[in-house]
Amino acid sequence: MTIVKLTNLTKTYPDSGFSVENFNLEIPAGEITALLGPSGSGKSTLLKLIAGLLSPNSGDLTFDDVSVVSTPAEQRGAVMAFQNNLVFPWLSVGENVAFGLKMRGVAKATRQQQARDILTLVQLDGFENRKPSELSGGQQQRVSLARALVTQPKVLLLDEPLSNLDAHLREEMRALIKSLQEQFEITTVVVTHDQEEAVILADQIALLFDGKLHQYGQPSDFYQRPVSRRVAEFFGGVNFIEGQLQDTEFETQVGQFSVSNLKQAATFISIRPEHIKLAIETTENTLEVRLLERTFMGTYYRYRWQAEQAPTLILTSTNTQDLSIRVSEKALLHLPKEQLIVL
Amino acid sequence: MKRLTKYAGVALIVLGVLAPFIPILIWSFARRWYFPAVLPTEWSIRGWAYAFSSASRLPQALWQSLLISGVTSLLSILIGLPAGRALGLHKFRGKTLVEFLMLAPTIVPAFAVAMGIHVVFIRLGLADTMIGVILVHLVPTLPYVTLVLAGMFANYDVNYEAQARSLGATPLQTIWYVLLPSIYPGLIVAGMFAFIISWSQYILTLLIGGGRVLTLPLLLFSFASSGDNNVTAALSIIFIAPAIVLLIISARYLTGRNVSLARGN
Repeated sequence: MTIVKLTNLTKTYPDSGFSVENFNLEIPAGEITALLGPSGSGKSTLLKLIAGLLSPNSGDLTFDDVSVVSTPAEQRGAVMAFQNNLVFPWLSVGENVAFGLKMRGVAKATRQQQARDILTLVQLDGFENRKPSELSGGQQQRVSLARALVTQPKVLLLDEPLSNLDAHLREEMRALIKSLQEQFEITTVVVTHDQEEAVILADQIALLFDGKLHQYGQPSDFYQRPVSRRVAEFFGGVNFIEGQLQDTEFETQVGQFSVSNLKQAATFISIRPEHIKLAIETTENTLEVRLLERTFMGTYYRYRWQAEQAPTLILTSTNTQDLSIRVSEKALLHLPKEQLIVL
Repeated sequence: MKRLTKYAGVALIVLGVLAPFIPILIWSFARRWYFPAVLPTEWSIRGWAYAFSSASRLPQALWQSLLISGVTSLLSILIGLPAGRALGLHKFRGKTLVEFLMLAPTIVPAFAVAMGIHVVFIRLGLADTMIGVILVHLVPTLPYVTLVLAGMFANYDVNYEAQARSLGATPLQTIWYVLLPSIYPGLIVAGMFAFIISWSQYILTLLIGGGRVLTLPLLLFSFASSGDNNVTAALSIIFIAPAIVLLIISARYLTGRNVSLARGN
């Protein structure tokens, strides 16, 4: 298992604004790490830097403390599976999977056997003589994964592995990637712009904005302890109340809220929709609101509330049961102290 | 019935293509063929016998033609491949100008170009040499080769190369196992273009070769102007043969290949 370490890694493109500057990250061995960020955040650049398909302007990249900056892509042992599969259309499925072995000079019989074995692992046994054009998108994705795994890489790099798949194929592919990654114990880096993809796949997430590491941690950290409003918004946070800290209370236009985290420079408090509760009587951290909209979301209900004291403040809450409140009726919301995130 | 019409149609097309060659074929075997006779009144193989005798210099001309056209095609592809790749894959400042300059040799009369080149080649000692002739043949072949390959690269995904590198292919292996299989139909077409263009060059070969470099068209013209119809006809058929062979090869290989590529995409 290989630890990948990025030290002050810098890659700039003179023509476009995209760049990664002085990037530091230690990617733990044998786990899945997601590089998450919107387009232009530099996540794909980082992946290509690790793969050796791009050379950094400066900085260092090590696999198990050995610098690989000057190692060409084909000798690096970091295999990348591209987003749109890129299964070679002029080769059969079996030849595609055996491609990396052929390049390494593995004998024909051996590489064919290994290709067959790995195709069985991705549930494509018996497909070796098919043409890629005969496969569905999901099957091509599995060929691409098998083709990368068969070379037994030190580091597996996956570029948006779930983004081209529909909902049920996503789940299948997610489970497959997880089980193969655990079986082979490969250090895996996944690049994605989709926070859901990152959360369900990764053991830890590195969130990038504008070529910089914004937050690094386990998936749950990004929901429970986002470091900024931008992070909270990227992970689906919608409720933000402006204000500032006064001693132990957070002062806002709709009243004072007790918070557990006393961050002095804070300018917002936030709460996730599922943590907002109805209150029966005015106590600590309650807020008078009027129901604006109620939407049935299939498995839960979503409510949008307008604060009585500040009509521009809209809060969203979700509940698995119908609250039996009609639109424009008044209600009292409770924002539990321990769930309030201070930003 | 439907099948019959289809075959009749194909037969008509074949006849239309081959019809102009029929008189040439007959001429190559005719001794006496005067108006109003529909077919020659006397037959002979004198034309063919002379063409293949040592006096006709056919072996020399055929060999030099094959060599010049072969090397010209090869060089055209070697130069046209990177040029076509740059034009097909990249956007850069002045691209339209480069494209125009690439095409210019097809617009400017070859004679004008060759006159200027001739002066330079005399100074460089390239005039009257086979290398000089090959170099000047590149002038008309390169635009076609580059444009055919540029078209091929316009539909080429370079990420395939990155994917191959990442899977462990060296740069050379990437060219051999990824680039060439991807653009192979374009390479064949471009190579054949270059071969045929070079094969049928007359003025450029005459000017730069100065008569010392003898190719098939030069030999053919000398017999045609001397009025010897039998030998001219026999040589014409030999001259046309490679074009027909290349046409058959391309029809056999390229159609099937293109279909599978189109499906692949």
